[in-house]
Amino acid sequence: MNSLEDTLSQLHRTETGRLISVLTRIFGPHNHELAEDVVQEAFSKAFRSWQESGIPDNPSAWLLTAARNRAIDVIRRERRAKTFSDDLTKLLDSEWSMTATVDEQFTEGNIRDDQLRMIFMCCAPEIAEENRLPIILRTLCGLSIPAIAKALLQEESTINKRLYRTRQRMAGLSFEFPDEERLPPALQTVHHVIYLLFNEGYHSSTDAAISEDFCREALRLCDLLEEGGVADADTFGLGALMRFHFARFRSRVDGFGNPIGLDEQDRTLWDRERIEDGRRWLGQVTTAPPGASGRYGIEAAIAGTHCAAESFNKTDWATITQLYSRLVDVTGSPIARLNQCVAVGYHRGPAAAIPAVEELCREHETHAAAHSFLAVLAHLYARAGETSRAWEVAERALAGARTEHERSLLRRQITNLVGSPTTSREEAP
Amino acid sequence: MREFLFLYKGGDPDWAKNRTPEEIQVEMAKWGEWLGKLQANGNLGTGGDPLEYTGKTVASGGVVTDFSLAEVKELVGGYSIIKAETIEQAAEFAKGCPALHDESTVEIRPIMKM
Repeated sequence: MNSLEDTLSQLHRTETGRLISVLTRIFGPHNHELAEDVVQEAFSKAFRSWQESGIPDNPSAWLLTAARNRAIDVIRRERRAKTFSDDLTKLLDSEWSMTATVDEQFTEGNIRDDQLRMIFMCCAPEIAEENRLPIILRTLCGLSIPAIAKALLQEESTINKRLYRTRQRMAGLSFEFPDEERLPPALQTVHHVIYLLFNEGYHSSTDAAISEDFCREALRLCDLLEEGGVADADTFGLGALMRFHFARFRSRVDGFGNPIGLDEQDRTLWDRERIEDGRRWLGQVTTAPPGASGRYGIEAAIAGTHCAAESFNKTDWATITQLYSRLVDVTGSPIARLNQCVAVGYHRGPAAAIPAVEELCREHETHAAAHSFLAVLAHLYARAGETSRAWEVAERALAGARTEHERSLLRRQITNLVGSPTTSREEAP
Repeated sequence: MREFLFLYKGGDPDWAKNRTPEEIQVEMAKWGEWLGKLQANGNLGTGGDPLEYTGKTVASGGVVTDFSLAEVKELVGGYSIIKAETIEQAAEFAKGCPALHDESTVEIRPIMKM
């Protein structure tokens, strides 16, 4: 009994996105809800049938056939009243071509392409930014509404509203690949959203299992771009970056869910295989067509350099400093400048970095991450042995920190440094 | 562009019974491909449907008769509406029709605009 539920919940995660995508292709985005209903009915049918006669040898193929048959029933029932996907509706209208047309869409290559179309549609400019993650989690990752609400720290009713609005918007969109001209900006948005999804998982402390799922889903969506042949240098950079981060997934928090700095992580917990996989992705950045952003490849190279160091003290700060200055050139981001200062602080010593960070703190007093600038400054003062200045700035940083985790990490690091100034325990960028 | 009624005539009345589901799937895939190509080029009016090989004839005066077995080979097995510039072009399209095998024929009739 339990194993039936396990199988079904596993299938929900792996098959929902595939099925909703192919059915949206067939029915058209304006019938997106019909697609969701058919998937739901296929799952109900599986539950009833498998309860009676056991789980079949290939449950995902069984489910695919159930969805295909259900889709055919729905088309026969609705075709006089509804129009389906623009280019397919006439073929679905005729008994001569209907089943063949449905079967052709249900082939593996087309299902993969349909998932790609779905990714691009969920990231279309017409879909509001804050609505993109919920619809992706629902349609492509097969998460339940309670699970989405929990992971995004929003009320279920809010998620429902967001999904409702998004579906209304989707009704007017086309379920097509962006053409050559629109592909680069569309791909840039997709990369951004995938990274957002990954970070939700990586930095969330709500539920370890959900966190890991989010990271895996982000990797899977990135893989889809590669398999679908639309990957550019940013895609490979992002894929590599997420792999290097994900390799450190288990060492990044302690038993209580508190984050552990890079300097204190147990490097034996790092997933070597995934790091190697990340290197393969990173290797493709230089040969792929250039991306619109350029930042992911550089960030991946930085993360890869960290992963290559046997210990924190053996980190190649010279390379990391250079990479950060390239990142500053590409993004102009104050956060990149801050991280560059951190790297300089390790490469040439805290005194070399302090003036630049002081300037950054002055320039970005109202920045959303202003407390991070102060935290870095406090840390540099502490390493330079300027105890009272370190604590004074640290207090200001603590006041702005958003979570107890951030506060405890900063407190511990400053205490470690100032409590015994000769030790070499240090903070990570 | 004009519209033409394609009437698929003849064929085996029991074709569905005489084939395995796999054979039917292969057959229908050909139909999907043929109509799909016409659709992609803007030549598909209405795909239409296959027809069963049974039925009745109603004559003036209200006389209703069943089809006789002798007529079956002459019966229309299905129809589509295809768009073409000329009837010659329509005939070219018909040459690719999966209905054409054995003694089956495709009858092409321009649809008259009154």
